[in-house]
Amino acid sequence: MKPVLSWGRINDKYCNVVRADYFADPNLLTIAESSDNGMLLAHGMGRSYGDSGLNKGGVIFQTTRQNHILDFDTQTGIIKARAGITLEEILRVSVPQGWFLPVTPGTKYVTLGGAVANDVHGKNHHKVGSLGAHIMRLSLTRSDRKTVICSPRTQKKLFNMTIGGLGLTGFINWVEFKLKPIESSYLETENIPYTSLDEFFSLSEESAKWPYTVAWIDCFAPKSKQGRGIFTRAKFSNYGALDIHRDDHIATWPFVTPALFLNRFSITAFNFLYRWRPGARMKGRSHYDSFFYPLDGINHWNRLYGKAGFFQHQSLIPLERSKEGIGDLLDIIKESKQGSFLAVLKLHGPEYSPGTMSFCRPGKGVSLALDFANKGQKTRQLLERLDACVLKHNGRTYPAKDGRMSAQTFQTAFPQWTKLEAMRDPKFSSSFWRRVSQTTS
Amino acid sequence: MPKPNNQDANSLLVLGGTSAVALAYARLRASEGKPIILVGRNSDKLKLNQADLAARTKKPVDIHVCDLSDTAILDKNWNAVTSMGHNISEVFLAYGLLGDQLKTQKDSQKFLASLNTNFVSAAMWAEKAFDHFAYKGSGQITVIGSVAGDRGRQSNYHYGTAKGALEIFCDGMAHRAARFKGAKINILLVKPGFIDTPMTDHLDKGGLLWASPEKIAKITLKAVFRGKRKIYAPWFWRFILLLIRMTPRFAFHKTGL
Ligand SMILES: Cc1cc2nc3c(=O)[nH]c(=O)nc-3n(C[C@H](O)[C@H](O)[C@H](O)COP(=O)(O)OP(=O)(O)OC[C@H]3O[C@@H](n4cnc5c(N)ncnc54)[C@H](O)[C@@H]3O)c2cc1C
Repeated sequence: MKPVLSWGRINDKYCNVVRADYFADPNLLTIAESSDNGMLLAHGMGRSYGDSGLNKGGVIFQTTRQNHILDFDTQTGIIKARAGITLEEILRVSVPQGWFLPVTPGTKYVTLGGAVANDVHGKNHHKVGSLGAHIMRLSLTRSDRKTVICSPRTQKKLFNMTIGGLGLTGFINWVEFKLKPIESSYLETENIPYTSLDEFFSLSEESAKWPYTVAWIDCFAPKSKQGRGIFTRAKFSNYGALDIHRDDHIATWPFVTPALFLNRFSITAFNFLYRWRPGARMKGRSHYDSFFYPLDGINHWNRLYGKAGFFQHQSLIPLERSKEGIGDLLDIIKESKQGSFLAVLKLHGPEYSPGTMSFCRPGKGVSLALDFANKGQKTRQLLERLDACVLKHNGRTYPAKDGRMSAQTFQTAFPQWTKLEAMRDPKFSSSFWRRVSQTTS
Repeated sequence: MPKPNNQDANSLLVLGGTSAVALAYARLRASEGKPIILVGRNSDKLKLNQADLAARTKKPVDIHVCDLSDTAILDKNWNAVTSMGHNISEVFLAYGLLGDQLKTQKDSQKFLASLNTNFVSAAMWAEKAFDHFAYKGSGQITVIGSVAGDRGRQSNYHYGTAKGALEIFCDGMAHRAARFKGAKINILLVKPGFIDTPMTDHLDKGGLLWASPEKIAKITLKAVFRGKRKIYAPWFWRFILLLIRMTPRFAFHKTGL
């Protein structure tokens, strides 16, 4: 047993870490038996912020050595790869052939298995849905039956439950999905500063045809300018080279920064910089690496928040309640004086992914992602208030970014959780799951 | 039946195609579009690596399944590999077996087998490659050695001896290559320190001394590009081994290394 930290550096759980062999499919029963509680959980790059990738007292089975590409048809863009491969590695291979990920989260250092287990979404959600919408087949090994290949046609229920299934339906061996054709690695971008939530909505509407849209917002804006920020929209350019991202990090964050650094002042300053960064009004061109993965340039940027770590909070509020809901959330943050270093607002479209538990189901809405330095009780109280506000507006909080939401919050937002519990592999569990599946009164 | 499909492209021949460092190195080469031949014993594992590399290089990736350490049929295996229709320009020799010295000390047949794997057969393959490149006019031979070959230590001198001998062998080949008129053959010996592979998972790998197979592969490729003859990977092992070699015997013998 050793302590394992998740990305937010708060949830520290003693787990028995077992690393996969390069080749062999794991023997799940033997692996599970090697732990105190007899439970196991697959673990990719550990980029989930809270405890959904941790398993206190149990095994976490580290998959990253199982990173073979099994097949890649450069004509159709269909790729089949083992679940431990990172999206970074897939890009390395696919981009020179003119193919890009159909959907990508804000970091390329996640595994394919992890991306499926959280059914990740990206800046193009309004157009193409979550990753699950692009998956054709996957192979799943369970402790209680033989390995099965699931697709929208065969083993449909298991397929739908595995996509966004938080790693609980078994071990994903490989995934087959369809990439998106690109003619260059560069995107044409437009950054548009705007000054109110209303403007955010009108810009989103106006940009409906743009494949990628997102907004950075300033949590400290005065009430009259609430929601102001920079709206970014982009599309892949049809000219330019098919260059892959650079090999190494530009820098490594060398030490754990004292939390002082991120006091209210620096956060405001940061938001101000984002608000007025040079060229904010200009059209530009950007490589996919700097456009999709700005934080990947700094290895271990999560140490920036100091020893106490930090929380993420991402919520999705249905469209009809979103203006009011986002406004309320921003009010709560402002009142708390615990501004968010990076606050990201995004209009979501209908969900095309079949994932039963997918965060972005049931579809159209607005999501708000926030980071908070951990200041103990005060921060936890703020997060509780945010949760309550999200529920009030019929929204939900994203498990991939959570390490603390209450069982009640989770169960209210994801009433279908009982179906996942019923289909869960009896040997699989996580710290997150044990917490949120508790009986509530 | 030879299939003359890649006479124009320069192929990489990997001896020990299931080793982690070899796969990482072959991936780097595959991304440059090299055709590849993988040789190794386990055909299931080789096939997985073959599929992966084929997805990366647009050129053929072939496998040859055999026991590399079987010196009796080594010539036959060499012939099989060289008649697969590839134009081999680089040989990457990565196989080896750390072994358990407590066993090889007790069982001389096991000891012999380990010497055969880590030195005798390896040198024979390297010699074959040298001849091949001498005839062709050029080539690169890259051999994965070990820091264990730098000084005999009680805990693993069986392995160390083989790797040390391999180093002397590479030195000799490099000398011979240097005096060769008309052919340009480069021999690189890589001496990695601790590598993070499943073979070493039972150890605690917290320290800075551990390197991933990918890192060793990157360092190796860079050294190949620069025409280096001998490197430690990563570089700091050079100084660690310098210290180890310089430690006077009376002090060294007090350690349990
Ligand atoms: C900077 C940053 C930006 C992000 N941006 C986004 C974003 O824009 N959109 C978004 O949706 N998410 C985003 N995320 C979250 C991230 O994409 C998810 O947490 C993702 O699941 C992490 O993958 P991982 O490989 O690190 O998995 P881990 O965190 O290690 O594990 C996540 C889950 O996957 C399961 N799992 C992993 N491998 C397997 C397998 N082989 N079989 C079965 N289950 C498996 C685990 O059990 C666990 O439940 C971001 C994270 C960071 C750090």
